[in-house]
Amino acid sequence: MDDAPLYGHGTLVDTPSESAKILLVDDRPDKLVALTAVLSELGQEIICANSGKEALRLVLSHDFAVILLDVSMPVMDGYEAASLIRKRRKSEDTPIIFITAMSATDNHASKGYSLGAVDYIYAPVIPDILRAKVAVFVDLFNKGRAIRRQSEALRQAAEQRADRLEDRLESLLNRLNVGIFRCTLGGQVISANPAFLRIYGINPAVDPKTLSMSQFYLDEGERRQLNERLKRDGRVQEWHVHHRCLDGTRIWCSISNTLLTDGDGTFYIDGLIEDITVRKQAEAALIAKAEELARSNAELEEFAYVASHDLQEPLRMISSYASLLNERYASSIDERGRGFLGQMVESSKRMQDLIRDILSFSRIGKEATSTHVACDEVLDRVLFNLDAAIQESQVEIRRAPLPTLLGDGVLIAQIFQNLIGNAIKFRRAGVAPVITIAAQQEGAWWWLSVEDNGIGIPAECTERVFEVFQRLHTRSEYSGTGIGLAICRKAVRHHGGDIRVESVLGEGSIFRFSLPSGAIQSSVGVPAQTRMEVS
Amino acid sequence: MISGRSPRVLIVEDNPGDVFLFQEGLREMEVNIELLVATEVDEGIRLLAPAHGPPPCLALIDLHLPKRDGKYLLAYLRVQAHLSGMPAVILSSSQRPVDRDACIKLGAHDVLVKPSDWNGYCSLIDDLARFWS
Repeated sequence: MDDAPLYGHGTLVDTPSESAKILLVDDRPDKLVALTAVLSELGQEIICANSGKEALRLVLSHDFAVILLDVSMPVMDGYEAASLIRKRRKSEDTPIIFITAMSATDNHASKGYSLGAVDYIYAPVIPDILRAKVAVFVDLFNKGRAIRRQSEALRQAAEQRADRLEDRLESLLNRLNVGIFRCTLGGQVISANPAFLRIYGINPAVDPKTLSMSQFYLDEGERRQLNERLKRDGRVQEWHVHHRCLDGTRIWCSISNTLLTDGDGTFYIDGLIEDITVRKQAEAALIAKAEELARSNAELEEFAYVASHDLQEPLRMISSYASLLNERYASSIDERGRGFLGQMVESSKRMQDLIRDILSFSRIGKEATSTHVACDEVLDRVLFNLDAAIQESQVEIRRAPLPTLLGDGVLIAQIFQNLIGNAIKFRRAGVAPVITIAAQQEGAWWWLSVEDNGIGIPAECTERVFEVFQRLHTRSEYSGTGIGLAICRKAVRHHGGDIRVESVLGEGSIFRFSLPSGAIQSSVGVPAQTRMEVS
Repeated sequence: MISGRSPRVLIVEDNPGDVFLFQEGLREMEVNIELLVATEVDEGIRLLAPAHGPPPCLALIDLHLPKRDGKYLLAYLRVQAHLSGMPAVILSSSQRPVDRDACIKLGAHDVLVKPSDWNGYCSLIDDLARFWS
């Protein structure tokens, strides 16, 4: 019976591949047939063995949901077969149901249980009970298998994802222009990406392990210093260092290192290296340019000052002697001659105005002092200076209380004087001129404003008016040097502020300029509008 | 001032054009003073030596002079005991506040802006009349 070919390998019931396998072990073919008949209803794959030996062979190549084992078999009985099945790793957990004709005794059952049986079925077998018991194990097996498949699928998906991420990371690291390396504290390179090799001009075929960080440093002391910092802080961010490439070229590198330790306490360094030579060069060029610009600006200002001062001397003479000539000899020359003299006097006056304005323009910021400036007092003085013009043009001045702030009183006076002077000068014919001076706080800034109802400025000129020598009118229309607003802008910018104009042609303009409020308490307690007064 | 002589005024000015206009102004305003003219600081110091008689009633000093400037002369005047009572007025074409402050600190009685036309000279002389009348 040992080698009964009929049952040895065959499958008695054709079932879908997803079905579970049930192993029936009995030395009697009729019993095998009977059991198969009972269990076929479960729709699973049933494999039969007619000896313990064959069962042992079958568990090697199949994964059974449950094994039904006849206890009394010749040569190797069910218990012996069970203990051997248990020893096979593949079947150590496979549920075994013993089928026995013997009456149940405790002794008997305990022997079976100790061998790993999960259940007993006593002959004669009652088909429904047998099916029910086997069905439980089949179900358990199928569920377990589904869980195993699911977890396997999940594991595979995770693995694929990890693989993809690794590929992506590697491709990124390879394409990056940032060198990535790992080295020992001593500088021995452990690994490096292609960019690292590229930065130092090393052939991509070179094994990074043959490199030492020391070879890139111009000064070994610098590398030690970097390591000291690394040991102290654990990391070093954007350490700028001059490095030497393989071919001797000097480059600027920005290094960011992190100190790491592995399980056995060995330290190593994970680092990023960026070639910042171009950036460094650009920075250096920019700094040099800025210094050059500052120097040339200072020279230019000094030149403007000296030139204007020295120009003023002969001009004073021309103007003085022309006026003396006019005074003493006007009666002895004819009308045309007097006209020529008048031109001389007027032109030299104009030249003096120009020089005076260029001087004040070039002087802004050179002698600047920062003190507490009560803008109300500044405005008082400015209005006093302009009194003649105010009276003559019958301007109504409306002023709101102004703040006290930290700044240069002389410059602030110049700003007001120029703005109010312009507002008077550019008044509109046929309209009672009104000039409104107000202040408004916005965060750390005070916005002071001078508003008029004059002739206004064309929209396209609102930027140009602040440039030096920009005039919007001919001299016969309005006098002026074209420097006043440039002086205002320079003085405002000297304080860190800004100046703007909003204007409607034929309706008026409002000039606003900002000055830092400083740490000074404002003297304006209530909104400007409600305290507006007419002076 | 000690004798019946007319009051003396020292002017330290390197620009003869200015000196001439000043003299013309004095004539125009019919002011009778003796004008001592120095074109540089050292010359002015020489003219102020005790050997040249008592100090003038006023020293009119141009701020911008070649070699030593007006500030140097102010500093010199301060330490000369016999000149301590003589008022010194600085004339300057500069309107820089910093120049003005420096001169006042050095003992200048006043700092005046140089005139730029004939009327300006006449006003200047009018203004200075307080020192000799």
